[in-house]
Amino acid sequence: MTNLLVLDSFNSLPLVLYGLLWLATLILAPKQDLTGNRISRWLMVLVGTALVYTANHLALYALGWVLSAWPLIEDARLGRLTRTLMVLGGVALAAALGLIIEHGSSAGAADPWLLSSLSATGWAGGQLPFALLTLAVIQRKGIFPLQSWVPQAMERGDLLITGLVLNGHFGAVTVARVALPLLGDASRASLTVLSELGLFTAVLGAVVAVADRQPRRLLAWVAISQASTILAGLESLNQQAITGAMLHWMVVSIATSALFAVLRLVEVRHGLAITGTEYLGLGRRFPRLAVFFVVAGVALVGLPGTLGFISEDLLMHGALESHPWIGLAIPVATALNAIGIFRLFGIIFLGRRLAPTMIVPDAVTRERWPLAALIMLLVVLGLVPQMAINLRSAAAVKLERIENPAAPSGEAQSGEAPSGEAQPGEAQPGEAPAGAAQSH
Amino acid sequence: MDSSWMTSDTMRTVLFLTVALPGTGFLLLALSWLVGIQLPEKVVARATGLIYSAAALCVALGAWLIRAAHLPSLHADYGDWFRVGEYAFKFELYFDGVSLPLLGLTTVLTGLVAAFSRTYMHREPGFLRFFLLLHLFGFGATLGFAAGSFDLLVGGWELVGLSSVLLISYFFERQGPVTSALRVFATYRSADVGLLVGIFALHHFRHSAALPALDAHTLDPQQATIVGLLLLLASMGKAAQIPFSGWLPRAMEGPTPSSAIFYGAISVHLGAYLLLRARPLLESSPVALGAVALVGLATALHGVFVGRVCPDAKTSLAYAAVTQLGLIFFEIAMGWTTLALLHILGHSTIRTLQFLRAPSMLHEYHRIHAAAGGHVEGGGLSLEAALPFPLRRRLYWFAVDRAHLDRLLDSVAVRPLSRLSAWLVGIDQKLGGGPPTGPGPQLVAPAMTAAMPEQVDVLHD
Repeated sequence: MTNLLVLDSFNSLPLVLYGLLWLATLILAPKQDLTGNRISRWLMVLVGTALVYTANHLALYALGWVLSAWPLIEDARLGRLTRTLMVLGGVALAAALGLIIEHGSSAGAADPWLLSSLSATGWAGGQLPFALLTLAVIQRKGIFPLQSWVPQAMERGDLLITGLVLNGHFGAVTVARVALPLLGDASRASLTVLSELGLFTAVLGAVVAVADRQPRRLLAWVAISQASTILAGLESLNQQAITGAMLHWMVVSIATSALFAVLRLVEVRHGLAITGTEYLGLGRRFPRLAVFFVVAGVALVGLPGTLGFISEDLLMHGALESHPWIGLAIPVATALNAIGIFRLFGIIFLGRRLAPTMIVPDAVTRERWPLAALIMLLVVLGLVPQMAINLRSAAAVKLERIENPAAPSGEAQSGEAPSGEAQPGEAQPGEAPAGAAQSH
Repeated sequence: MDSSWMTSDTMRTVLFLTVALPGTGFLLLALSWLVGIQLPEKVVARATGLIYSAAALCVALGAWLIRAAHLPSLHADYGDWFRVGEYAFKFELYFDGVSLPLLGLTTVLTGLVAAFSRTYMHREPGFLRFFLLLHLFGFGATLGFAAGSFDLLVGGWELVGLSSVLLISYFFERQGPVTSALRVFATYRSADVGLLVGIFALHHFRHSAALPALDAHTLDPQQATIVGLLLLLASMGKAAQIPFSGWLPRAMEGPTPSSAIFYGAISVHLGAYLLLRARPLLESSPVALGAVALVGLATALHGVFVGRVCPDAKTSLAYAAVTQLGLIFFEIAMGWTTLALLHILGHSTIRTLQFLRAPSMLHEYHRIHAAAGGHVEGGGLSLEAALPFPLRRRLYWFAVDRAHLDRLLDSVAVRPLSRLSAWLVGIDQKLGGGPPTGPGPQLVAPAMTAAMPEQVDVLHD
């Protein structure tokens, strides 16, 4: 049993970031969200996500996928739609992986269960595995037409756990780690459809957020919308757009984690379900939470001074040729999402406070510093973005080379790859580069 | 005199400080708040005064240095803000006869407004918030005016918009400012789509959005029309040109000093500045130039018409500003760019004074009325009296309803979008089996408040 897990330039930073977000969310979670049963769900999501990010063995990949989905599948409050879609996504993934393994066996892969062995065989199979993987990606990322589970799970279930599941961005991970390297031309051609669906979802989510008043749902739509453009960037055959997509992934994860946490903290303090039919006017009582909300919201919709501005700039410029619609989809979607975020901010923090609420403090120390760290990360990386870009440049070049082997050398292009990062061509996704940590 | 210090580097540094100082002020105030330091009002106001005095001096010194070096302009490249592969976002500032006067105007007026606000906002619960947002605005405006590319201009443009909206909702415990802020924000963001797509198109056609290299041959007429009309859309939103003029009176919900600096002086003129910068592109497109002229003239007439029936001083001043902005648009379309620039400078100054004077002027009117023992009749000509009464009444209704422009926007944009959105929400809820019927998402405490019966429709208010 070798190479069960790999760490490489693509997955190491997302893994660290996800771990930190998970920890920050755990610290921020109200005590009532951390009962014994719920803690096991939190751990399942963490372990599942870590497996999907790092698994080289397809059985572990599938196990990670199921583990992270399990808290939503077993939650009876969520209703049939969410639970069915989560099961459907898992089944589609398992079937796709099964077909890939079968093909790998017949193609003479040394170990058809290992991503690194499979990527060396080349793909000559049909479109079915890719179609199944696409289905899994669409479901997990909440892309049209399977987007409805996200607002429903947010509204009815555990907000913070659902946020962690969503922020795993398994759709993007699966595209980058499985679809692109294993399925070759089959995926490259058809991924365009997936990207276009992503751009459509970006606009659709933003439009729905205009009328949805329920704060959890509204935030879910905005999160779906902003996250949907990541796929278009990843699939663009262009280093700028791929880097933009990876930064956008970071932005969406950090900003939505902060927004979900603030919303949950406000819910707990307010003591009532927030329906969105009235202004709560909590800004006077919770000014720090209000500021954290504004900064995270501003970053999410790409306003300047934050990393969101950088990621959207790179996405738009990079994907200009491959997805001309991105030039219209991103401005329209972010404009509407910004309105949605401001509307939500108004509902929670502005307006006259109608009646007394419990005497509860603003963000306490335990809450203040994780939230401050999250927004400082968004702002500092927004002001000095080269640091974040350098951290992702090796992975972006590698993905670009997988998508477009004729692309010029990434080293010559960027000149910014930090020492110690894997250089393009050294390793394929699913394969540990020289010196990378491995679990045996 | 030893002139060795008058190097390009000195100029670059001095002019960089013009932009950096307000930004530093914002960051310092924000960090002090974040770590829990309660700065006294006096310290905040004095630091602000110091920052804007220094920034104004930097502008003056930079302008003098450029002039002494016999340079027509200075294109200061501070290197790449970030770079990925072949694409680099340069941090470059551009100082010339257009940007320098406007930078001087911004720093001086912002400093004056800050000095005025020290007394005006004294003991307001949001004193620090006001000054924080003023610094954010100062940073955005100086960045916007000094930007050496449209890409960087967007940064300043958006920060000005954000600070504007947050100041409109300054008195956030009243519903009026909150709904107005949302409406203004929605208008800004909708019009800003024009700016973002326009810049995107400029990159697509020209592979660059740098300002210094723009000339009449940059784009062919068709491309220039597309980019010109998109930038015009953005300018119309920022400068409250028709059909977007309805946001300006709503913006008066904010504190008077912010109304003065945003809607009398700097923020609204940023729209005209964008057109001044895009003027070389517009020259290739008679269609875009015609559209700018038409929008400007129509807005000027609209402002005159509506301004005559405004019941309060600030709204009346807002429509007076709309009128002048319409004329400035027309001047830009006609190619009278120097006149337009002078118009911007003069109009900003006088309008700021009028806005700052408005509250005390009203107070003095009341004293005069009281001293006169009743209402004092206004003087002046009423040209409307020459019109037949039915027509006058119809026109009055037309003007009071602000030429029905808000209704028009509602019916062609807001309502269709809201309906589409509501329809999609309905579909989604049907798919999901309707709203939750169980105990809901972890209700944590017994109900302590009664819900407000009526729903809040923020977009339509």
